[in-house]
Formats: sequence, C-alpha cells, structure tokens
Amino acid sequence: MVSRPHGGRLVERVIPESKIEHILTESKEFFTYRVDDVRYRDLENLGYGVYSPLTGFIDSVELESILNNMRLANDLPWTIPIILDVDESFKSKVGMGDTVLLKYNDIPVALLHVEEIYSYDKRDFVKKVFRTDDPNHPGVAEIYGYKDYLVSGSIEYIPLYRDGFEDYFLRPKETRLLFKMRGWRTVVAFQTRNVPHMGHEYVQKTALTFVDGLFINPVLGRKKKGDFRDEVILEAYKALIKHYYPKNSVVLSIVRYGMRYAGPREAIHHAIMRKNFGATHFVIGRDHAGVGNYYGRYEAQEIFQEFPDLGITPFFFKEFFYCHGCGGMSNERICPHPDEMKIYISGTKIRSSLISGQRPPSEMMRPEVADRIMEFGDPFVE
Amino acid sequence: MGEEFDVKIPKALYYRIVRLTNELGVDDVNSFIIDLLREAVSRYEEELGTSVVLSEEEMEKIKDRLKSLGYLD
Repeated sequence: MVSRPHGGRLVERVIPESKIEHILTESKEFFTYRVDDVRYRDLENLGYGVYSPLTGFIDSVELESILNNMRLANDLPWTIPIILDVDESFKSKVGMGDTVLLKYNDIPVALLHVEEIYSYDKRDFVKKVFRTDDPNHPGVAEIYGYKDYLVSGSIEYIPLYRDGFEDYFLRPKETRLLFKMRGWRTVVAFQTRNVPHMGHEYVQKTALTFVDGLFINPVLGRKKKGDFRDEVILEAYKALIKHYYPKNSVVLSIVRYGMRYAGPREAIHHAIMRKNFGATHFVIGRDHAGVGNYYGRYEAQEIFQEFPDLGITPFFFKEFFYCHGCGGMSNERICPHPDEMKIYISGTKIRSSLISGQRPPSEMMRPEVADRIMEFGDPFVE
Repeated sequence: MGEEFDVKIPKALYYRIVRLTNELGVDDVNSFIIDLLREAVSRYEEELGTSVVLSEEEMEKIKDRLKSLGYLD
C-alpha cells in the first residue's frame, strides 16, 4: 500500500477536456488576471493534487497558521504558503464570490473562485518562511517584489498550456496506480534539479536497498543562465537508468515547480508533495532546497524532528565521495580514510569537463551519462 | 499555537511522562505530549489507508497512458 495522501484525500481540481470549451465561452465575462511562472506551476500542482489537501490559494487564517505553527489550521503539517498576490486595481474590481480567469502566457490556465482579499506583512512572512529578511536571498527578494494583497479561493485547473514535457509528467493518481501495479509497497522519492553524478546514484541506490521502488522526480522550473537544460537532465537520467538500474525498480517522472529556496521549511514541503505522489520515503541530502550560506548543511534534515506526524519517512544522507582506500563510493559515516584518499564530486569540475568536450573522471560521472549530455552540444541554459 | 483545549490524563501517567522527559533531556513536557499524540494520530490515519478511488473507466485510461509512455509492459 502506497502512502496515504496528505490529509487523507487526494484532491483533483481539473476541468475535464470535454467541458473546457464551454468554460472558456462562459469565462469571457470573468475578470482576467495574468499569473507568472511560479504561480502557474502552483496551479498545476493544486489541480492535480500534488498539494493535497489544498484546493486553492490559502486565506489569511491559513497563512497565519502556516507562518506561526508550520501547520494548517486543522493541525496538518504545511510549511510553505501557497499564495497569489494581487494589486489595488484587482481589489477594487473583484469581490468575494466572483470567479476570475487566470492566464499564463495568454493561455487560460485556471478559474479562481474568490473567497478573500487580504493584506499581509511581507517582513513577517519572509522572516518566518526563509528565516531571514535579507533581500539578497532570492526567495526573500521575490516576496518583497510581490503586490500588496493576497487573494484566496479554490481553483479549477484548465489543462491547456503545453511545454513539451507532457509525456514526462505523471499525475499523483497515475504514479499511485503505477506503484501499485508494480507491487511496490514502499517507494523512495528523490528530488533533483541537476544531471546525475556518482554521488546521486549512490544515494539513490543506497535508499533503494531498503524499499521496493525508486521514484526519481526531477523538478522542472525556472532556470538561471548556466543551468543544465530540462531536456538534458531527463536524457542524462534515462541513460543512467538504462545502463545502471534494475528494470522495473525505477520510475522517472517530472514535477513542475518553482523553487523557493526556503531550505528546511521547503524540505518539508517537498516531502509532502512526494507523499501525495504515493512515496513512503523521501531523500534529504546536504543543504536541501538551500541557497548561499543561509542554512546549515544539515538544517533541512533536523527540521523533520518537529513533524512526527508527517506521514512520509525521510532518509537522511551525508555527502558521497569516491575513496581510494575504500575502493569505491563512500561517505563520511562509513569511511575511515583521510581526505587525501578521497575524490569529492565537484559540480564545477564536471561542468568544465563537459564544456571542453571531455568525459568527467569516472569517479564523478558515468561515461554513458557524460556522452549523452555532450551529444547536446551546448547543454546549458543560455 | 492556536486555540487550545485541556485534556485530563491520570496523574500517574503524567509523572511517568515527566520522568521520561527528564531522562530524555526534554524541557517542555507539554510539547512532548503533543508530539506523541500527533505521531499516534498520524499512525492511525495511515492505517486507514488511501482514499484514492478510481472508476473502472478512469483506471483503464490511466493504464493505457502508462503503457503508451512505456511505464507498463
């Protein structure tokens, strides 16, 4: 039996394809509001139940509860507020009970049934969610740039937007059925935003040793210049799985999500998302969802002590490295050898090798993975 | 913390918990009891199982998609 959805019920709020045309005709009378990339991805996750039990953007009572208690008002763990910011103009034109058509890149993506429009304290928000109010923190800067009001209400997702990765996205209902059909009772989820190196592989395989299946769940979201492109990450993983994983032990499927870089709080949020996909375990490594030096190396692991009722079990890992003394991959908990015998996996070194058209050292990256990445010519975001 | 309620527990149990928190080095008995209750409630909830119900038609549709994408043979 896979994990029970968070809050006991998997929420799906998607308008069936057969009804979309009718809804779009009807929605011509609705106020239209444009959302950004992060909010669009939140809408998709609300629609398909990745954020179960949420049915839409949260109200002021839930916001206060999440900020102060890291729980919803019904005591269920929830650490990242799912919010939609609006301006004075929206507030003057839209009222409680109205329906708003939300668009992303001019494409209708959801209906929002407005319940409350309220003001909020940005400084209080960022200090509680990000544990800092430093405007240099990307998550803090984003909130400071938000409009002055938030709107709450349930949503109905309109599945019209296409980004070319539709065949790589399995909804929670689909992953749950897939896990069940494969006979997996326990599933460990692994989040990634990068191409796989040997450290990732050994974390995944160590975790897989204790459960029935591995769910590799790359996050597709906004990128910065120099990041690996989404299609490169997926192809690199496909190469790794093909050559080095037992058949039917792995599922590779994406989730579209805008990272907040909220470190410990976001680690809990990521675990909840994977619980809704049906995972029973979730890998938390070093500085999960962190950025810069805002969080301790293992702070995102420590926060799990505060949530004995999360309903998904974290697997904590230290950093893996290659050790000549051990004769293979190792980590600081099991390796007795001095530093000079270790080869730490360096993202910078891997990147510079790939840029120069050479395979990174085999202690850092599988040759098949490196070759697949290099086939792209320029694998990075321009 | 939001609104709170008082729940009565036997005195002997209370002191047993206090002794345990002393041994564990836990300062806040109240928070400790809340954590214990949350863990227990969550365990019972998990035992209730998944409430994801799929119709036959929906299940077949999902199976077809999973097969077409290569996730199922």
